[in-house]
Amino acid sequence: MTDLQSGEAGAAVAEAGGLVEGPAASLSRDAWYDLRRRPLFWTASAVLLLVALMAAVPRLFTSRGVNQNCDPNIAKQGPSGAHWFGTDLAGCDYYAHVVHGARPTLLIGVVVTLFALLIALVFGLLSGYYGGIVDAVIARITDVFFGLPFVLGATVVLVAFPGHGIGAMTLVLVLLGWTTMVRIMRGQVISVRDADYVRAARLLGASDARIMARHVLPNALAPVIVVATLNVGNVIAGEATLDFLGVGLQYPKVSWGLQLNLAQSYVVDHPHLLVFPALFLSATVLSFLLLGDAVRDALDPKLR
Amino acid sequence: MWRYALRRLLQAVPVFIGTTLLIYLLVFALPGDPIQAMAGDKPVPDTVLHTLRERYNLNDPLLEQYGKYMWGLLVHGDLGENYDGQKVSAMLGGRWAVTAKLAVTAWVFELLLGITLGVWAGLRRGKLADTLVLGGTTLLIAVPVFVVGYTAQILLGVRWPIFPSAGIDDGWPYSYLLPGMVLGSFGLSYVARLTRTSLAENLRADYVRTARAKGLSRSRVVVRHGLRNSLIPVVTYLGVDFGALMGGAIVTEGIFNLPGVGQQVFQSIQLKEGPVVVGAVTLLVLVFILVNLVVDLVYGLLDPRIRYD
Repeated sequence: MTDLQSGEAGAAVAEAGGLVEGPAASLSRDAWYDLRRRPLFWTASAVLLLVALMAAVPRLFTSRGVNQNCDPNIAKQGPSGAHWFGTDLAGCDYYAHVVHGARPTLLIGVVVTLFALLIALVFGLLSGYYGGIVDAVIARITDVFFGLPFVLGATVVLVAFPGHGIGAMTLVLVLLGWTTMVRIMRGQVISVRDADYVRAARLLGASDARIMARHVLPNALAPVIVVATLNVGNVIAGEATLDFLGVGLQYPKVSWGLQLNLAQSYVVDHPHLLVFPALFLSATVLSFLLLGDAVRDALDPKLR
Repeated sequence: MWRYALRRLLQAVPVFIGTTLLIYLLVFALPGDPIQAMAGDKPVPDTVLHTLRERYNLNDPLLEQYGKYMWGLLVHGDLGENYDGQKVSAMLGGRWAVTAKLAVTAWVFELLLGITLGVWAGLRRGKLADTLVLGGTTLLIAVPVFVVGYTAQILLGVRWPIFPSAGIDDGWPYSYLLPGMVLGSFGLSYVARLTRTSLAENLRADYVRTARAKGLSRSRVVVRHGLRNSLIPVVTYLGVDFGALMGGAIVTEGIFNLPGVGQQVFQSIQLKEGPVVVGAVTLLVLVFILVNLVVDLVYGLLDPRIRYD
């Protein structure tokens, strides 16, 4: 969160609400006070930190590379002391695979959301601020992409480019996933567009670009950031679905969705093949959802 | 109202054209020759290639191809034929019924259970029931649908065979119950949460206090005053979600081996059978747009506060 009251109207409000010690009590500061007291916020943060650490430095968790020291004689074994999460179809260590699977999963989730957020900010600002024909055109473009069924649309593109990697996956997920945030950003911009401080800035002769960047954007940002956090979880689930269907990342690559894809014919007799990647996948998605929920509750004074 | 309906209808036209054109371009402009794809790695004689390309308009500019296709579809109701000569409408025919039955089952499931759970939690805000529903629905949203699907199939279909584990041999509704619940689990969570929040908010409204003060029974206050107004956002979601259920059924169909449209399209994409993909997805988009349109119009009937102008 940025400093909400950038200039004009802020000081008086902060003064009036100034029960909290220290510098002016901004919304972000209030939200932080609120967040600090939520156990779910800390749990979600802890899980995400762990997964991020796995993604950044997998060597911290396992000395094995992916698919290293595999022994077909011990294929599909359940968890044991030597192999904490058991072994996969080729007798490779499943734990190492899970650890290394964190990176592509998390990377795609975060990068896709950042790109989608960027599109949402630009389109949402233009659409909400100018209204009229710009708004109509952007709204129709958004509708067009919103109407595409996710799995089928992604499959069509991905099948046309066999051998695609993380880059192509990111592109496809951005292409199909930017619409929701644009709509929310547009709504937010419209709700602050005619606020007194925006009119004041306009009267003072500020340019459109300056008004949008300094006054509208910071005040419209909060809900979009919340949705973006939730969106990371959705993107990760979407990516895993495509991997699972066999049209996402392909074999030598490593990801949780791919693990589940390879395991799908054997899960009845060897449930550990389903349980471990699914557990990590679900915990990561869940943490992003909980984090987003917690931030939203903290930012929304109506719910207190 | 009528002006609004007309405007909304006119807005839907460019969206329909845009989405179908986008799909058309995605299917036909991306690399990969469909005629070659039929033969796999084997070489195709030039004359055969040429004849087939001519027959399926593949040599025309893409926009012209799209125009011919849409003309055939909208004027003659013709979905065209696949490269092997089969009519697309025949290939998809029986499959629509399977996907529709699945979507309806999922939809009814999320409607009934979702609203029930939402009311249960909304009436007991902050209590154990509320926490349970919130926690459970968050979990269901977070766990990807294919994980839910496999887990349900293994536990309820194989280990404790309460439901058929796959296929449609037992007919509707029995064969569709488990897949329907899996497909509807995501929407169920949203419906429950929407109902809960909306009901809890409305129960604090002035008109509910008035109704109570008049001495109406609790059930009447909750159902007629609280719930009726709380269901407006829920109805919107349920409407929009029906289109999403039809398009999102592909994963569930795969897990439970249901021969629906999703399965067919998924196979056709990999075999580069463009006409099948375009035909099915175009119809899906049409359903999606129509349902959205209807929801937008019905909205005003449910909530008199909404003005169309």
